[in-house]
Amino acid sequence: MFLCLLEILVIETVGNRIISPIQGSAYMALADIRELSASLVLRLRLQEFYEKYCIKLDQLDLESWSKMFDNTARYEITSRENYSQGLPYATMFCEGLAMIKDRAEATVGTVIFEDRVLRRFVSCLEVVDRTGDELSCHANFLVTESIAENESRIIAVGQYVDLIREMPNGEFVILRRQCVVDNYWLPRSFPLPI
Amino acid sequence: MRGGQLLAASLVPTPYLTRGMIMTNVDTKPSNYSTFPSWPENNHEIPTWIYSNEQLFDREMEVFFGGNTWNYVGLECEVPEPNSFKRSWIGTTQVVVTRDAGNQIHVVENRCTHRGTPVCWKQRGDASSLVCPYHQWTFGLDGKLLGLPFIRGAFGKGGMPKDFDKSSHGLRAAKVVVRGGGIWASFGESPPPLEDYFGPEILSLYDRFLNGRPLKLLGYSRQILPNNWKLYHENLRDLYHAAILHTFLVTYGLYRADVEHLNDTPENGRHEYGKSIFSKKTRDQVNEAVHEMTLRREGQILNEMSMVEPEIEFDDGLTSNFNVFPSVHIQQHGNIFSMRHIIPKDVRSMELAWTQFGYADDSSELEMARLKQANLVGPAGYISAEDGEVLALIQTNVERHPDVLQPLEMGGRDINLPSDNMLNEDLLRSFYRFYRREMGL
Repeated sequence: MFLCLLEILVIETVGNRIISPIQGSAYMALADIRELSASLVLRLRLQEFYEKYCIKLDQLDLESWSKMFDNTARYEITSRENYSQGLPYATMFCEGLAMIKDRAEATVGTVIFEDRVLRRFVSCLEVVDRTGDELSCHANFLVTESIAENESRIIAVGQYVDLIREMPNGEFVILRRQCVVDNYWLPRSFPLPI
Repeated sequence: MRGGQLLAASLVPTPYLTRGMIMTNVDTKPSNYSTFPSWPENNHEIPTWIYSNEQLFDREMEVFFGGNTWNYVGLECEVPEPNSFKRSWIGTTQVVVTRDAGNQIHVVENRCTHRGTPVCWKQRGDASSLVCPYHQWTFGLDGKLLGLPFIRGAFGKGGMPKDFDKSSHGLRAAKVVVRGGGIWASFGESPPPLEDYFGPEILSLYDRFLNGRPLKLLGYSRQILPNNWKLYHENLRDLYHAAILHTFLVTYGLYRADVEHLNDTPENGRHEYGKSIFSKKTRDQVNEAVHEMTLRREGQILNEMSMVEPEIEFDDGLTSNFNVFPSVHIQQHGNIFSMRHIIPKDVRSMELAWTQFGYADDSSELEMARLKQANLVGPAGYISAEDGEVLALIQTNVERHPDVLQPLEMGGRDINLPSDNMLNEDLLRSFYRFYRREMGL
């Protein structure tokens, strides 16, 4: 929103030329400004999407979490060890929305584990590639776990390797998310998605 | 101190000591037994001190992982090419599993005989020799010391003594047997043949699906379980908990007290197996046993049933899980093939390394079925995650209270095996009878 306002302001003030915010002495064409602002807006919207994903999971709202995936989506939690060797097995492996929903339902209703609060931190979001409406994105994650009578600790650190579709209405949906965990070991149990 | 051994042996009912029985610890010298706390002379009371006594842990490593046992260290398909290697563990000893240029598999300790540096710093890779980075002592993939820099010094100065014998400074090499794609190693002086160590029952379950058909590595999960390694072996032999703790199984009707199955601890309690036949009919049947399981939710079904409806791969319809003590639990559950490598770290923690695999000629559909069903096991497994939770919490309590005797009386106080029901703890009583005999306790 801020960028849109900025663009309007700029156009009104100096016509179709402006001092570039990047290089003080250079001028930037309106087309370039539009491109820059579009990419910044996309970035903000994506960031919001990534954060919403974390918020839903942090709140244990796994139903809303599952709704962020496409019908044909694949969701995986794998290790750097598997990923770098191209091995297909993943510690958590959901092929299609039905399996993602099963994970959401069974985790909250069935699987027994000690109460815990997980927090997911996401950073270094990067759009690596774009083909039509499909965005290939990377982002870092860090996940902390807090359990009563225990110190809070980091249980996973790694990278999301994603394929995301931008819908005609501007919403995003996940086509594929690989959570590539860098840590060599996972903890005693890893029942929740990250 | 050898008397401890004899005393314990004399407590065991006579028919139990059968001819030709393998004793793992015959080569090792028991030490400091007198300092261990007491343990009642029966099968059904387990003292809690055994989960946190460090001296006992050291002795276990010596007897079980250093003795005349066979330890799982990996699959042949993990070192697929000549001159390739991977790291693994035999108990608390790190080893390198190698395949040499002539396709021979070797297992050598990852410890330079010079200064103790690990000679292999990578998890896996390709190499024609193992070169210690510290002083570049160079070893063959079979562990033999090939050479070292400046062995004759330089400019007439330095160098090794003239009588320095390279042949006595090779990496410690384990005996190796490869069977059905699995690699087995022993640091013992005189381990029995692998077939005898397995015994006929485990051997037939093993050969049933590891029959030489080439395997394909699918991937790994590794986790640290903050519990004594024996608690994990207990868990694998604990039938009583399976349909109670594992509500996923009950909810979706996958493994219950009314499922047909057979369990035993062959080779005088050393190993363990469970086999069962799963049918759709069982899943849908509601009877007395199911009503006992109050957590079962009527009408609960999965959105994606393929995860629990395996493709039939074997004519016998069996699902089999078996433990080759001390190092691995081997699983063929539906289309899940997995090796659970048990790697003790210290008295209160262990690594559980899961290796998932299939056959090299699997169709893509079958491979997908294996990947989907693998959600049942591993650190995030609908079933296995719960075991990790429970065992960690047990460890905290048994460490705080090492002077408690815990009852294993489900199904009686003696040992009646094989078992065709889940409501007993005979497998656990049998395990500890075996354990005490081997440990001289």
